[in-house]
Amino acid sequence: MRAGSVLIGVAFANLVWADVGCNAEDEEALQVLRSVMPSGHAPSFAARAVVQTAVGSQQIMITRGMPDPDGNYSVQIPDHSSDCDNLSHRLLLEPVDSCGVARWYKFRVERQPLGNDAATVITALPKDVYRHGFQLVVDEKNAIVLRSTTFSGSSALENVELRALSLGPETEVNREGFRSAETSSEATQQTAKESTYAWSLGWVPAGFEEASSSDTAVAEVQTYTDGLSTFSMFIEHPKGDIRVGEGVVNRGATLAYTRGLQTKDGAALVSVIGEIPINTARMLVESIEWSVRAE
Amino acid sequence: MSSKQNTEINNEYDELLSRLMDGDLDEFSTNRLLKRLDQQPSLRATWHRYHLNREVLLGTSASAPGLSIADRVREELIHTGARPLRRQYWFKVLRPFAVAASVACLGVAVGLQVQQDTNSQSATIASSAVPTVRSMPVMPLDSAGLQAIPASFGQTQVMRSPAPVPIEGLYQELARQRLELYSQQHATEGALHTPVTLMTGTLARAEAESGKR
Repeated sequence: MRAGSVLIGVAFANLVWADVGCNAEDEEALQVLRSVMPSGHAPSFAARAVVQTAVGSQQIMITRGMPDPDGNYSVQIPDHSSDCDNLSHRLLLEPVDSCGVARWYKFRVERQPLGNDAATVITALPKDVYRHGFQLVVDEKNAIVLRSTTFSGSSALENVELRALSLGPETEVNREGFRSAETSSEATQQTAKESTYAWSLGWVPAGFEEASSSDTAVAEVQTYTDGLSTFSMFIEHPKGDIRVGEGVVNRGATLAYTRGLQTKDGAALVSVIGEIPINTARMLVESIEWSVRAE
Repeated sequence: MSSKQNTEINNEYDELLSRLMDGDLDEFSTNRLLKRLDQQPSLRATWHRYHLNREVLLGTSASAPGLSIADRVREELIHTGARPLRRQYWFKVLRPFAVAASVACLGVAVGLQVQQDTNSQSATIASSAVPTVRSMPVMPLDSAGLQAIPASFGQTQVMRSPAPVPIEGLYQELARQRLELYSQQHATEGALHTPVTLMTGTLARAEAESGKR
């Protein structure tokens, strides 16, 4: 009885906390996040990304809107075109009710010297157990995230840091990456495998909204984001029966949770990929609702 | 060639000869030994001595003395079961693969159904170093773990397969494969929407791109 009262009290406190409006620190954090959100006006750059995970560190050349200055191979950062609807803008920033993503994360903002300028350190602490925490070090002058750390409790899961950053000319970023991201979904949509039953998520953690959906040759895909973290659901419909079970692996902050299910439509293999805790992934799969697909 | 090297080579062939006498020599080494026997008189003498010893031990007499050593070895292989020897050899060589294949069969039970197409997703699968399961029958093994496999020479041999892999292990592997397959798509989509996924997806995009290259 007493434990129940405590739980109700905690839940109520969380609700109250979640509904508290923006404070000055939240607003400052949202302002900085607005500047680094992917958009067609983001600065082009090339950098060496040092990715540290539990299994070691790797260095990767990444570029946005420009080729690698040394002509080496680099991973291109995809970007929105300037006129595309960016869901994260709405989730993060638009104060529809209270203050965007600050409803789900408690923000702390600090300043650190960065050469002659200052870097802003934004720490986002989750207000519930359904998401991880993040820390972003932002070069405000150039609106580039210099370092991101994903953590669960007091443990860092992944640290990505940009080094040897070289800025490109101040032009609108190359939109090819964005276009290719769009067209790839369109191309694969035609090869989607139709299942008799449609599926939807009966539950998502508060604040997450569907960002995109597509069908590939092997899976139906839906991606959700709360403005900071993202997860994608991939559902395959293999033939025959399936031995139900689950498996989970991590690569840094990215979780892959795979579950075999027997549904009304036969076997289904559901995979959740994202920067979310394992229990959230489990609950998402548990919440899948199957319904007869409309003709 | 130094005398030391010669001695080492001779010792090696003596060892091969000894293994041949024991019926424990693979086909490749047998062919190598046959070539060497034709070239090296001392080795023939050793072979002859081994046979004499064995005949004394077994109380049998030497036969076909007119045949060359190489011919006698060949005859030996034929009469003492060259084919079983070869089968035994190939069984030894292939046994680990048979185990792996059985595990793969189990993997098929919960595997991925990939359509035969040429889209980029399939290209990723094909270029992945991870063996990706492409069809989905269910539990290929019966409860006794017996499985009929085709044996050499058109016969059928029943082998006992290794113990079934626990389902947890298979799902771990499936989750690992899904991470390989889907993390790039997730990272690319997420990078369009959040600065966090833009950063955390760096590794996934790099690995996927390196796989394509």
